[in-house]
Amino acid sequence: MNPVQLPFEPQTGGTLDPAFVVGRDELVLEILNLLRKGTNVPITDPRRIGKTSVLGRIVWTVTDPEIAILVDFEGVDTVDEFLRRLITEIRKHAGFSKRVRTVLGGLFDNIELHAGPVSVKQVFSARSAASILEESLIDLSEQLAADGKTLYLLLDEVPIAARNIAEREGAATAHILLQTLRRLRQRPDSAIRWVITGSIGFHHVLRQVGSTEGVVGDLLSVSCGALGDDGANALTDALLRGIGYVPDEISVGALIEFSGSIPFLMHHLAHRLRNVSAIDRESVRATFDRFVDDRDASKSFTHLLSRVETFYGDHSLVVNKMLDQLAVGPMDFESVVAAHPSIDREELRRLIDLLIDDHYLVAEGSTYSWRYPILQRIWMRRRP
Amino acid sequence: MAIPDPSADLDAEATMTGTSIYTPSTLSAEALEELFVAREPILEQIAIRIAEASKGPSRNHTLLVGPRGAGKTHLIAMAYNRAAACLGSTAKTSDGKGKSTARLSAGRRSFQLSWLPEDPWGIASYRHLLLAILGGLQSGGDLAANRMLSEEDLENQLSSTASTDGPIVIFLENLDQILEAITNKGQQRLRHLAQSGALLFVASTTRLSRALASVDGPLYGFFTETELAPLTVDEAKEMLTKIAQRRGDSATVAALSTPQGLSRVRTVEHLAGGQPRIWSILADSLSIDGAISTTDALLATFDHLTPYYQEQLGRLSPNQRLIISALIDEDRALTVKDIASVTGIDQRSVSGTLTELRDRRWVQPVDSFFTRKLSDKRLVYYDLAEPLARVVFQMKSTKDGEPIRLLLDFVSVWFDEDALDWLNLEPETRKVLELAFGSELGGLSRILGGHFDASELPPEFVFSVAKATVAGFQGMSESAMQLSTGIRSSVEAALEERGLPGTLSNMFACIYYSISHQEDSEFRSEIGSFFAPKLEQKFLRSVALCWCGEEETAARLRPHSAEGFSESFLVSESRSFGIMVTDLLFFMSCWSPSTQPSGKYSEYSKRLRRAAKSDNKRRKRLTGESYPSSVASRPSGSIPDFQNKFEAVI
Repeated sequence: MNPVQLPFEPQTGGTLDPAFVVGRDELVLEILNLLRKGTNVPITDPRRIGKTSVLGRIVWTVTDPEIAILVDFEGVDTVDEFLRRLITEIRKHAGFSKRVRTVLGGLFDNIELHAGPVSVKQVFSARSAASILEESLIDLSEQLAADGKTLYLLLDEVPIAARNIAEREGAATAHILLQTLRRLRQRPDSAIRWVITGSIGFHHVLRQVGSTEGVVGDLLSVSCGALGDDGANALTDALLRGIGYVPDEISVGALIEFSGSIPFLMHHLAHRLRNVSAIDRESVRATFDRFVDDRDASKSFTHLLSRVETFYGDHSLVVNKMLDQLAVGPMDFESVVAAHPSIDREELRRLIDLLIDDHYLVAEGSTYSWRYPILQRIWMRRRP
Repeated sequence: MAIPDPSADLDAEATMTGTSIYTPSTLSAEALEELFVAREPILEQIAIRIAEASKGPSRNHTLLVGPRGAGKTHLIAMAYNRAAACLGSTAKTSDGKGKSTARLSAGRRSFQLSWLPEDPWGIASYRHLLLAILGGLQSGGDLAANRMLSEEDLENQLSSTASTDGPIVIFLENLDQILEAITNKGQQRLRHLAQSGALLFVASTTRLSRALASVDGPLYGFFTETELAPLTVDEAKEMLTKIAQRRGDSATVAALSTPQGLSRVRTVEHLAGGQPRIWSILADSLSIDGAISTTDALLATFDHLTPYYQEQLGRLSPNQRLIISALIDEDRALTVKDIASVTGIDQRSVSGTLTELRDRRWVQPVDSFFTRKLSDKRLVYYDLAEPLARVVFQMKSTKDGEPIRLLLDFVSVWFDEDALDWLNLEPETRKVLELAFGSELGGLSRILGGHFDASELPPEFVFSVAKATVAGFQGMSESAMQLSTGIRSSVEAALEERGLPGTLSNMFACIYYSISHQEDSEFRSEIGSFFAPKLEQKFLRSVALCWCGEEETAARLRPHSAEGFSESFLVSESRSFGIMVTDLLFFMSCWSPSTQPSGKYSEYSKRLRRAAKSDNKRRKRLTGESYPSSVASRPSGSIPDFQNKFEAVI
């Protein structure tokens, strides 16, 4: 299906039909190539950049003998539930052989059914959910290997689940789950590959559950980022048609400019431009300004900008100043040091690393700049 | 803040006219369609989302955001009815609430409908919510049996029915309350269930509560939000017309179709706010040819609203109440600095409290003709989001027997003084109307509406409004924003309708009418120097003609023929008007080189004055009364009418 020719109604929430995910095929291919080489991937981006849509597109793209299953762990607060939700999603997939189902059926009830809750067989109820998780996935991997298939497990909102489990069952339990997942990822010749995403950074959750970066240190981070030119043009064209507007060079260009080619912003701006009779640079700029100034509406995209105090506590003043300076233009490390003579070099280096982890900045060699120009623009607008 | 909760009396009364103010869901599908205005594009979007969900994995969840009375229930009821009709079955139950389902095949895929009760009192947990959704389905099974199921079983049942019969489209109101009841954990589970594709939400909420507005909330960014804006003046007019048509009130329908009708609606909008429910309430109170019934109905409406607003005010913090009180007492839009000055609260606290009041929909930034012209774009004026809240304070401060100001404001802008059947009015109603038309707002509304017998207003007052209008038009809106909200709104409505010259000429006409008897004075001079450069001579001539009120005179008039023009008054019954018109032309000649030499005007003016003096003496001798200096004779027609005639002549 070619979405370019389709009118596409702006969608600022909910579940996007993966057939209509535009401009992400290159990224999907990059991720699949990494997975095929045996590299497991976390997708790290702030909220609303399009991580879940990319996962959906991966599921939509792969074909036999590859299988991709997306599991959303939102709402999970026990390891048992984590396990059951994972197995429930695996159960739904029709591409597994009877042998796979038999293996899983040895551990769980209701594997053969399409409905009804999956549960651990009574006989194993004394065992920990983490150990059953490990055993079931090892068994599954072996059967998949025997069938010549590869399974990509796309696990969404894992950091939230880990945090919930830490709150409900204790940090140690969450830590064990993360370690179990790491062991599974590191098994040689495994037929299972992993993509892990979440809307909160792992480094914040790890602190909460008392783990170190080591439990996710095996993952090679990939970023969604903004759409490329072709993707941005295609999506803008379809969205303008979706609001009943005949796209032209001016309207398409304006929407791309003010959205920074971020799909979520494109959808939001198009949604807000529904009743505008002439979509040009001026009207899109006014709509963008209203969106940014409406803090409720834009919070999902701009929460990073209001999170400095939460993330950096006592260092927030320094961080704010640093972001102000970098909003004007890129800086190398020595310039940052020179701009903050009262702060220790190592402390500054640590803060910059955190700003990179938290998606504010990106490093090119020893030069730092804002990761998303559109966030940089919003930052400048909000901090006159 | 919200519009009042259901009031049985009021609702029952309204239902008799065929429109339910508070519970649109009880209306038939036909009645809902008949009364539907303005929201059709939103309805179409919902229809597209349901159609897409029925065909594939897309789940574009709708969240309608608006205060109570914004038309959410009406929209949801119509979305449900249309979806059900699309499925070929309207299974709405007679009580219009709760269990109502339809599920039929629509092409290759199908979908199911579940309309939850508007007031979610029975939903106290996530489990209750699942039960309600299941209970709303035709295939939902036995309620008693469902009650025995666990949360997870209920989720599975919903997933199972969705996988076989299509996604469940859930029509759900007061989402904020439901999310609060199901707690964060329930919200996470609900999101997960919805992500699986089993559910499509068409939901509404009065506010973006923490669960919806917090970035950490599971359902943040989950919905495509659509804010239901207040009705525009044209949409409100359409709604009033439809309701009047429904009750067979052809006089009101006809009146609303005139330019004056639109002007009235515009001013009422400023007095009452633009929420559909308020228009619905007023539509049943406002009748163009029933002054008695309208006055009584308005009083009853305000009476019903008072306890509600009292209760709402009681829930505010002392500082919040102080700010609301200041806005009502000052009767105009205020800046943070103004509020700080009036209340004695420091500016930072005022800002914080205003944010709270905005969240609770008590106040809103003013977005109007004058604020859009403000040279300082950072300056924000705040006013009451629900102007009718004034009713509480006015009820308390009004002395026994005196009508409340709000009633006078409404009456003064709604009725045409000249069209009323004064002789048949009851004394109480007559008193209310006289007070209304004698008020500043009433007088100014008439002046701006082109009626020039409203000169009871002090000319100094009208002049001050004119000066503020010009300043506001030129971007120095601060002085315009000092006007009371009602006056400012009337002026803004006139500016939007007729532009600056049209608005100013009406004010000028009134002022000149009032001071026409005066000899040269400082005030006259000030008036002249202010207005003359701003108004076109041609237009002033038309103003003069409307005072004359005689078509024959108009027909005789040729440009620059002051002689014939003024002579006609010497032989007519309208000598006082003649004086004024001649004075006016004389006055104009001083400022415009293109007019006749001033001497002739001066001469005619003197002759007319002498004749009028003689008339007045005779009248006094016969009747014991003099002509009032400013109302020597009742003119006929209105400025626009005569302007048109004048334009036709020349």
